[in-house]
Amino acid sequence: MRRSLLALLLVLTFACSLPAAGRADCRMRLHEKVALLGGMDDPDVFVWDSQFRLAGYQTGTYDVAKALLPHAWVVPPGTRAIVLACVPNFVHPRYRGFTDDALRIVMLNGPYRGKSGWVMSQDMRRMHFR
Amino acid sequence: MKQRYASVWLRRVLPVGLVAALVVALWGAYEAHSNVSATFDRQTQIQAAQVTLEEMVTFQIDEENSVRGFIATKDPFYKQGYVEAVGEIAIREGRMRAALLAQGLTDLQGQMDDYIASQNDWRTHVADPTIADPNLHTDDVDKRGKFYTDQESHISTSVRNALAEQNKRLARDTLASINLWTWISVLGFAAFGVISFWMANANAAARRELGRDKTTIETLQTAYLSQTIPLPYCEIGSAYAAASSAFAVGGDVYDMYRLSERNALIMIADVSGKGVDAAVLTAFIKFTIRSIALRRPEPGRILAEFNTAFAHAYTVDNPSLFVSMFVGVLDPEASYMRYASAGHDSAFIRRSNGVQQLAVTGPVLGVMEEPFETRTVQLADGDTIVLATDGLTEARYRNGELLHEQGAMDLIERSSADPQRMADELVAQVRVMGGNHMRDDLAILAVRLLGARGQDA
Repeated sequence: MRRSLLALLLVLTFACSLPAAGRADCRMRLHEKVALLGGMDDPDVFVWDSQFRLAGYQTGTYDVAKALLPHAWVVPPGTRAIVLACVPNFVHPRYRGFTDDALRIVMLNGPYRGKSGWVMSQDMRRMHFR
Repeated sequence: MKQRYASVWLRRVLPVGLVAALVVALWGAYEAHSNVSATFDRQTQIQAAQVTLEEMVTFQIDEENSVRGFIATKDPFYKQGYVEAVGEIAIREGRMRAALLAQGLTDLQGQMDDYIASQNDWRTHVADPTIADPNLHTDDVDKRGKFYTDQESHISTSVRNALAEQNKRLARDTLASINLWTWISVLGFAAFGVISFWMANANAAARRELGRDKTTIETLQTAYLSQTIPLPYCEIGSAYAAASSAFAVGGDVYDMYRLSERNALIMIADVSGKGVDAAVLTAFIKFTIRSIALRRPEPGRILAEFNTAFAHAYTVDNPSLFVSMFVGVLDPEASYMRYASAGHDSAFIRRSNGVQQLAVTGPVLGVMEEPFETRTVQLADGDTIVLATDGLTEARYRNGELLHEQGAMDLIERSSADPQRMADELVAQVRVMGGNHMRDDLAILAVRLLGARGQDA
């Protein structure tokens, strides 16, 4: 009985710690197909190996952000991807007055095809293709 | 005399309030206008800063695109574009810093530092090495380029938002300030209107009261002024004209009274105040003088006794009150007059050879206890004693010049010999001089000696 309760507690804890993919307050849906596209200044997109580094890059100071660069790929604009998970309002860009979702994606084409990483929803566009 | 018609409130407080309300109203309007002007200036500065920022971002993109273009084509044209963009950004950086300083946005200066540091790093670590050798272009350079571009983009967005927020805040503050000052101005104008309305009503009420009082005063004056009684060996004329302004009515009195078979009292006086109180005082003068003259028909003593009575009755409570008076005791049969004048200089004798002014023999009544000299003047048949109040000598021509004693004497000399016609003509002359407007009351008493033959005739 005790073991069962402990197992249940662990399962619940794990479930709660999972990224809230597909939640209603996420800007992108789970398994949605997207294209990566940065801003007008530079359309390339940073794809990070961790949601925390993504958030750290956007939130951190100039030096912190610079130090995190080895943990990112520069992905060319137009790279297709599928949303695997979403953490709503996880990123707080330092110089912008809004929060953004951290999304885990897997890339479907380009030089990083098959690789998985984290981006902000702001750096992607919905693509209606199969 | 007590000022009854325009209270201190009406004469002093309300006009001050009226001026204050107008000042507040104009001040509010001025402040509202100043706020709008200041806001316009500041918004113009902010808009200039926003335009400068957008130009910086545009040149930053040009700079990056020039490097990308050079990497892709190796065309030196892109190198030139890069160099020009660097120069343009430097110019706008100076302008931007000055604009931020002018707007008091000192916290954005730090962001500008970051922006410029990021651009310099991008040039040092990405643009310059790549332009020097396009083959050196690697993933690492790409990553650095993306990083610096992100930084610049984020900072420019932040500054853009801060300027927009500053603009909004300015508009909000200005709107609140304009609302406040507009309300103050509106209240000032409203107060101005209310006080004006109030003053107009109060003035109208005062005028109504004054009109009623003027009627009362004229009635009293007419009642108190003596009817021309017949005196042996004399012809008598008299006239009275009230001032055009109700404020100036009251206070003139003349009298003729038979003291004995031979003697007659002639008197004219002018009270320093105006209004109902002055009109009532004339009755006191008339009957007190008669009463004293019956006991002591000596003009100097009459004035002295009256002075004492007047001081006890009036000047204790009203020290500024005084009366000028001429008293004469006339013996027409013997052709002489004894007289005394308490500061009353409008007394004349018209003779066949001109007009003579009768001298003042003492100060005005109500000022001090002084003896009054009695003088005797010989008269001839046909001589006319002309007594007037200061409405004659202080009459003004249209240009404001006073008639004075000499002018009065000239008028008397040119007037008819008949005393009643003379009195009427003098009043008419004064009225014409003032443009049919009487500045002051005017009383005239004229007594012409006929002599025994004239009387018989």
